[in-house]
Amino acid sequence: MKTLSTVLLFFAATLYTPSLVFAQQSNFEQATEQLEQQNYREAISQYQQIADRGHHSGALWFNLGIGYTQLDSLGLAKYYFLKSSDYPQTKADAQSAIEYVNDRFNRRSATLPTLPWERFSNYLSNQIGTSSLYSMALIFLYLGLAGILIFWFYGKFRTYSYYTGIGAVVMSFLLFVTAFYVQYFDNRYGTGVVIERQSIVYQSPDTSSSEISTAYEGYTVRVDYQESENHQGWIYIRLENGMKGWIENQAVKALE
Amino acid sequence: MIKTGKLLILSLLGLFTALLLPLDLFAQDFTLEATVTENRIFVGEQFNLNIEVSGSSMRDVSLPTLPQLSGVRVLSSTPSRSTSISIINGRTTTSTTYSFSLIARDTGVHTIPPVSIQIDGETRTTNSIQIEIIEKGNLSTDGSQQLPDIFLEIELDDENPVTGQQIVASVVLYFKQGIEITSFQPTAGWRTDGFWKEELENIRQPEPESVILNGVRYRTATLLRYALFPSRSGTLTLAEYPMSVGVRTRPTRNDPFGSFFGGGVNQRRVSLESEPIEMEVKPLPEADENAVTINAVGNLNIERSLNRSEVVTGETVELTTTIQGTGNVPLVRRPIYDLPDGLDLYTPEESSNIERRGLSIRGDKSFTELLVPRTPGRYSIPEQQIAVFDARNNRYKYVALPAVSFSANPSSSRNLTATSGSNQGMPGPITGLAVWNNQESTPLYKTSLFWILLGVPILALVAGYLKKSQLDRLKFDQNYSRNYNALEKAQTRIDQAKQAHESQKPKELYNQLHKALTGFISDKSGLPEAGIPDSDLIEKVIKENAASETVKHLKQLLDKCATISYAPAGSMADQQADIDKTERLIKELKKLF
Repeated sequence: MKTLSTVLLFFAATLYTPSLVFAQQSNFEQATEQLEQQNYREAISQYQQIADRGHHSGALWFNLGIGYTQLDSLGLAKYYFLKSSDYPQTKADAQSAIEYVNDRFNRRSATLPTLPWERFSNYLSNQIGTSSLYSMALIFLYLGLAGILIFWFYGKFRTYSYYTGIGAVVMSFLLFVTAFYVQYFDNRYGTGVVIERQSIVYQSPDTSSSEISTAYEGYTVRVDYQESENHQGWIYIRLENGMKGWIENQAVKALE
Repeated sequence: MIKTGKLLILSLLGLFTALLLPLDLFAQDFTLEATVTENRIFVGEQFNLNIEVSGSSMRDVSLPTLPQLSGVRVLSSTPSRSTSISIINGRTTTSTTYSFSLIARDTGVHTIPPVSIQIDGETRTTNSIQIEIIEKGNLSTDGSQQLPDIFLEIELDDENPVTGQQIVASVVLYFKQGIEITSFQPTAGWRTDGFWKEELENIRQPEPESVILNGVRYRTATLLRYALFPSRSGTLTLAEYPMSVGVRTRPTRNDPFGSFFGGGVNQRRVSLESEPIEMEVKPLPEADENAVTINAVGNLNIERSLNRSEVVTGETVELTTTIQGTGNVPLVRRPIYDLPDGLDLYTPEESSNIERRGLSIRGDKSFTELLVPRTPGRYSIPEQQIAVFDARNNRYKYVALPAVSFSANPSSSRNLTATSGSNQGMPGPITGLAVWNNQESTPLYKTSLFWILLGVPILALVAGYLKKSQLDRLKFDQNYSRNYNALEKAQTRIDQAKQAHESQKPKELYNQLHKALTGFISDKSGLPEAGIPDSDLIEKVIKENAASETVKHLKQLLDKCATISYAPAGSMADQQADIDKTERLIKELKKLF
């Protein structure tokens, strides 16, 4: 009886899983059909439903970007193209779409070059990833541990094991520190896109405080989550020109 | 009783008169006019009374006969006569002017009665003219010294306008009798900061008029006119107006109203500058917040229209706003409308047509916005109020522009392509099978596996280090080594004692038990391995606060071990009991050290 139940459960699961995948793909195709028919709002609504059910795809974000481009919501379009550029399958298309959208913005921010450690951190985060860094750090840690134990308890390879162990532990430590730094940077800061036509950047999270600058639709900003977490309705941002200030949170959509 | 024959005669006479009347009117196509060169005259000042007969043909005109004049004296009863012929648009006009020279004599207001003149045998009379003769001595004596012989002034029709309101600045030249103006030329460099300036077209040539300033007779002429529109509020300054004027000083004043541009010798050029003018420009009042402000001031009409009501996506619809009328047309801004989403907006086109004739600027200005719908649907541009300030009544007039809308149908090309219309350069949507990710991956550091994997080597390292330290100590610290191995050594000796018990070697058994106890105590206490009397060991145990029972058993056992060589061994059971007692003692002693 128990065996029969297990077989039935496995059989049901086998049938159910592909049907879920098929459903989201089918919904995606229907939404794309709407997009091609120029029913942009309907297409966006259908894409959004897929995303709300927890299904993510580079193609989904990319097509959402196209829909918003057609509706002249270029800030949102840029946001979705940026999301899409994180997926290897759609990265190239997304980048050319971002260029296209950027060309259509009336205003562009002056851009300061990224600081070296920010570039380094971004490179590690985007190209290697913190999980890979942690994994490498663990591997070196175990290697170092083995070297040290051999050095302590086996006299045969003392010299080699000593240097190998110390070197591996130091390397492991450096990798852990780097991974923690990148992780901290990723957790504290994020990228956001201004989605309102224009919004004022204030000196403090209060509309009566002095105005620092104006952020226009499509500006890419760096969001400081840690600084923002205690101020409901406000986000602390840094503009591409280096100016920092507070902006009302509905004006910016942050990439998660 | 009515006499019908007389009535008929009267009727025929009336009809005849009615038929002849137009002919008579046609025959009188001339004008007769009497004018004086001055209406306000000083006592003793000479002026002229002109009788002008003009018409389309030469006529038989007799000399006018002057009536009795009061307050003036006639210099010559025979007038001077001048005739001129002008041909305008093919029509010839002949004009004959008789001019009497008069001298003012008595102060007061006098009337020159109608002058009679015979034209084509018929007596005609002019209109009467009123003149005022004033006493020179009543006027300021030093006034003439304050004003120069010739000067320039800018005269404004409003010195307290609002922003955007048109004001007319007239360039007026004043010059004394005896000065003739031969030419004038504005010099570049009139600074009108804060104003939009348009020169008004002056159709007629300047005509001098006579005025009395500070008791001195001047002639004045408006040379040029400008329309000025203040572009900001506050105190604005019109700089000095520079002009170069050609003048000729006349030695006599026989003909005070000679040609304005009279030629002659002794001509010279003078550079004149008007006084700068400061004016206070008021800001425009706040308009209704729902209305669109376009900086419009004046009497302006505004219309808005779409050139098409139906298009397909990607095609252009033109939204044209036309502002026309009198006012600050050149300064009107493009109205900003609330346009619906989904429209591509291109740079608006702007055109204007300005007329500068007369005393006001009028014309029209058009703003054409190019709208390109990207999505099918109905696009509606809501009704909008445009605020136009009426400077005359000092209030806003709101022009309501009705809502306009158009429909955008889907274009015939179904698919979005990379090259279609306004989307040139935009990649098309991604179709087909997508790669799906159902959940965000959890960062490694948030998993328990990561922390286990991180903790294991650390624990292993600590354990290894401790083990290594212990091994090193066992190796190099004899006391520690003896202490560490004391229990094991004692157990080994007890085991040997057990073997001796099994092989019935009682002496060997008690020897091993003795060694086990003394060895354990000395190893734990760091005492030498041999040569220590049992009493010292017992003392050591007592010092460690051992229980008296333990000390008593230890002493008994050690004494038994020491004396067994000389005494008979006990039974096997006694021996086993001693082995057990030794084991218990070792356990008790282990707790002490």
